[in-house]
Amino acid sequence: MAIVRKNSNLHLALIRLRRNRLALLGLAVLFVLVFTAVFADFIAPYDYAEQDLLESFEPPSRAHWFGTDEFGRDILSRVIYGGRISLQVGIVAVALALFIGGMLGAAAGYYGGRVDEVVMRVMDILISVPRILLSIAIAAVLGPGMLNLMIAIAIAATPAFARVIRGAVLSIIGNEYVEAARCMGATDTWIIVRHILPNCMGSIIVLTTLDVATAILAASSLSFLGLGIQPPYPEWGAMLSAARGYLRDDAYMTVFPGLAIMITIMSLNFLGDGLRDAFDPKQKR
Amino acid sequence: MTKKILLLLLSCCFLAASHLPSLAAQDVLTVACVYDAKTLDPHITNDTGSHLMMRQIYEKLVDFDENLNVVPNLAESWEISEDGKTYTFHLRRGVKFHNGEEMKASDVFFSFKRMLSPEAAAIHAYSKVIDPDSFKIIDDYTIVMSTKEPLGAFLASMNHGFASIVSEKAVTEAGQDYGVNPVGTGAFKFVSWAKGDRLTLERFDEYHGVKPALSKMILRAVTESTSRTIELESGAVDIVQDPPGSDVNRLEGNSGLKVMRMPGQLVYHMGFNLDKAPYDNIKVRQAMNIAVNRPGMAKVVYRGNATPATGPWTEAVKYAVTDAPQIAYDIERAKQLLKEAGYENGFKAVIWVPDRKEQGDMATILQSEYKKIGIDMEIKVYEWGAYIEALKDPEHELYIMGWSGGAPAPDPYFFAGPKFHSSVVGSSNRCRLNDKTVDSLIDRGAAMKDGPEREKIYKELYVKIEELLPWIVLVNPDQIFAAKKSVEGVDYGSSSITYYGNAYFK
Amino acid sequence: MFRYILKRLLALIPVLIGVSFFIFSLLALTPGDPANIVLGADADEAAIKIFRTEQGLDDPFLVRYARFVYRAVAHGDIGRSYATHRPVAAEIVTVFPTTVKLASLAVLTAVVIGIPFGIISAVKQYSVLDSVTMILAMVGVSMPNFWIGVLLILFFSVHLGWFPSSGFDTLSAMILPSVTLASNTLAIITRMTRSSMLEVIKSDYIRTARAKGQRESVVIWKHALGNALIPIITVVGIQFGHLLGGAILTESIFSVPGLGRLMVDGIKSRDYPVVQGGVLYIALMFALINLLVDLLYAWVDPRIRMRYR
Repeated sequence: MAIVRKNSNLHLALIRLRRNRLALLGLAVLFVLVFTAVFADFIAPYDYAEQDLLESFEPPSRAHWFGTDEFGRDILSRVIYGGRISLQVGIVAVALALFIGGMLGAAAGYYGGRVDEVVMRVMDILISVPRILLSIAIAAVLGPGMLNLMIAIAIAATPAFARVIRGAVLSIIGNEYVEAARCMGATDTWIIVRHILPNCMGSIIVLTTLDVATAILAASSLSFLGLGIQPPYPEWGAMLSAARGYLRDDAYMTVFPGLAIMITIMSLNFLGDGLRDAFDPKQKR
Repeated sequence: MTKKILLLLLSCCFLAASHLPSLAAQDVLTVACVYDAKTLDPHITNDTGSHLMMRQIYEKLVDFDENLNVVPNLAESWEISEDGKTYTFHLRRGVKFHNGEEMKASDVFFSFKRMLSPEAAAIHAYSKVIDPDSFKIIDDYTIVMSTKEPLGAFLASMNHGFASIVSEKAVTEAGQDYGVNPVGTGAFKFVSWAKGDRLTLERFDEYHGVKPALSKMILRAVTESTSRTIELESGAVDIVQDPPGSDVNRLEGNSGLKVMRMPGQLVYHMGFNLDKAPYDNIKVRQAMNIAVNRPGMAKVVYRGNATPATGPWTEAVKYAVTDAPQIAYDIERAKQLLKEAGYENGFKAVIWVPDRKEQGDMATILQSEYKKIGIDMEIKVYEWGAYIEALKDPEHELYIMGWSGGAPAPDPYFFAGPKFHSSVVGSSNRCRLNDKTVDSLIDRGAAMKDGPEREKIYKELYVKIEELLPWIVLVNPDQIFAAKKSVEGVDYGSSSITYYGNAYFK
Repeated sequence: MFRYILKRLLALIPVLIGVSFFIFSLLALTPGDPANIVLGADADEAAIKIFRTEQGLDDPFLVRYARFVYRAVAHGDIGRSYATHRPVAAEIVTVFPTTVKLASLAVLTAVVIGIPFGIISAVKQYSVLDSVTMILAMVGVSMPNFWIGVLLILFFSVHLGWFPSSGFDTLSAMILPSVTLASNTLAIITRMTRSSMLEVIKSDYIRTARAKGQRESVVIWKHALGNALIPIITVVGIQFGHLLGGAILTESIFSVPGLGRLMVDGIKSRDYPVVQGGVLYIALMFALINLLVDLLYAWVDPRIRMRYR
């Protein structure tokens, strides 16, 4: 029974998604982004760390489509590699949050009682601090670096996942097939994985997509503030922050990293919104 | 109808009146500073931002003239004992504090006692040379104090903000709130402080010295460097401290503004951990020394507003070696030296930098330069607090720091000792230099009175340190100020602690 | 009603304790000695020892935490800043009004522009205006607000010279930071208003009102908007709370001396008391705002009000 339901749910959702043009646009752009990120080594015209101090501060030209930065590095190449970094950080951070938050939320919903109390109290504490402040504090503890950045963002993102999964679990827990499965001697883990999780698939997918956007924004915000990615790695937010110092004469340096962030987040948002509508069309459009 | 006309007239008057202040504003100076002050209590902090602002409010026993010689200020005259340790200060009479009280020896005593208290841990590094039990008040205008050891640079160091004289009455009354209610003897007194925004001062009419032309001084904290230039160009501020290098050219081209460039005191350097191989090998250090394109670094990091460094302190410091040769840039010779040292195929290195843009940029350049001679250098960025902590362990290999002698005075005593003396290995001596000649030169120079003997010692020390290469000195950023053409009278000097009180508008 | 409020306030206490413990632990784990930052990187051993003893930094973790809680509860003393020696409460009180002003201006801008546009989009669904508004809103949500800030400075300060690029003292100085901070919220409120209105417009009682022959303007303004307002209020309240603690980026770019800057500077300079006090304060504000929003919610929607009788 459960299997049929899952397929038809997903199936219907996909059909609805196909009709949403904005979401498809977002998906297409995302695909291009992932493609350039994966094949950056072949697509980028220069190495992202290749300096040419004589060519520094060159505005966009035929040799350098996006111009060069203060070290004479090609900005187009840095934006392309920056995409790889942003996607990596965004996806890994959200995956971490999904895993940890999911485990915690599922446990809280399934076992209830003390477990629920404790988990939810901890989540409450985490969300009473604004996300960016929390990430800054954690990043300060862990120090700069890509892995630490991912952890800092993941921790701030965990409560949302825990809540959603817990809610999904709670809504299903009363159902008969869960009772039936338990009677048949299925272990708790098996039930959670095989029955409960597939049924909150919709919410998870939507939250994940939208949260990758938030994570990428958080990564660039923290790098903008000076935490996170070390030189010479090209992170979009860090590039924007550096460009701030050259605003008067070399304003072109501020355009491209910002545009890259915006396009990435926008496509993720289009896709996420489309997914939300696809999985639950009764929800507000 | 009449009502409408009246209303129109009234609004015209208001409009006109709102423009009047800008006409009369020629005696109000607005300065855009890099940092805001943390506090206006001179004895509890040693950050530059606070001391710059406090410089306009407080005075000390001595001052400097344009040639950096010590001249009297709150102390009219003094005698130094034979052994060079005891100082008898004769205080100027009739000096008023901003609260109307006259400055007496008791205030000086109170100030110095305060400098030596546990609360003043931040300035301990400067005040520790004073013997806390040596104070003697002879009369209302005479006070005696001694240093623990004879120190040639003592009087010069007394010109630093930490030795500001405060009013005993004001401090005792304000208690913990003194930091936001400062009372000094300077030409300008405190009016108000909007933290993070601006400090407002106005002329103190009972000032003992030359009355300033300005009636008010406003010090604004504008941390964003591009914003500082914008404020100057729009006329919102009159003087800007430290405009970003990339804006200097356009400012110089602006006919209404002028740019003052001064040799700076800051020496950016890459330090070696001399206890770690391969950096204990002089040839390796020499190779790395000549593989750096210093002019290129000055261009990129400071847009040309820096000079390639030649030694551990700059020309802005007393007894500096002014004709030191430029360090060569010779990749081939560097490779040769590495080969001689036994590292023909290069080696892996790790450089530590704090999360400051300049240091990060320098490391990026170094990484690319050293690749050319086969050194594969990895950059590790630390957040500032963690950085200082990490450098205490003898685990580091290479690191980048800026050093300006802690700026109590441009005396080489402050530049050499804390960084190169073996007694402070592990704290401020991060390169872990332990050399008997260096130690002895430092000790002798510290005790000596000013004069040609002392000069000789420091020149020798400079050359010796360059020989030993515990550091690879990189660049000396210029001290840059930009101001409206109409602002005159300010002695910009090369310290970042400028006094703006003598300014006037042409 | 009062019992409900009391219950909510009491529930705050364990959360605040939890937050304080969490931040305290986080700070204890952060590498870097506050002594070295306050006293300077080259401070000598003796000075560092003096500082650490003064501040009790060498005591065990739990002792320090207990001391902090005791002082906070018994004397209302949440510590003194290491850098300025002033009480943390005084430091916060100095900067908090600025952040409140900034956040309020931002929310005001967002509401004044967002709600009308959201309504119009909903009423004229599928029109060109609707599509344009929705695309702009989407852009607003996706544009990182630090980028918006930098671009605004580029156009309005550098090129046009209309507004200053830093500070927050004059009205003209407040405009760019407020607009920057408002951008995300504006987009969210516009979309929220639109979707909320759409949902309400399609509902039965609107159809009834129209069938009864009510004027369209009354239908929209009285019936539809009134009911659509509820989720909008929630969003506005939550956004305001977020803005209070999250204006960090805007405050950095425009050198606005607010609470966000105090926090970031405090973390960077290991000024533990300031960070602890500040985060606690933000958490408290956030919780109180949530409570206020819930109460407002109840007041606006009579159905919910019933539940609390």
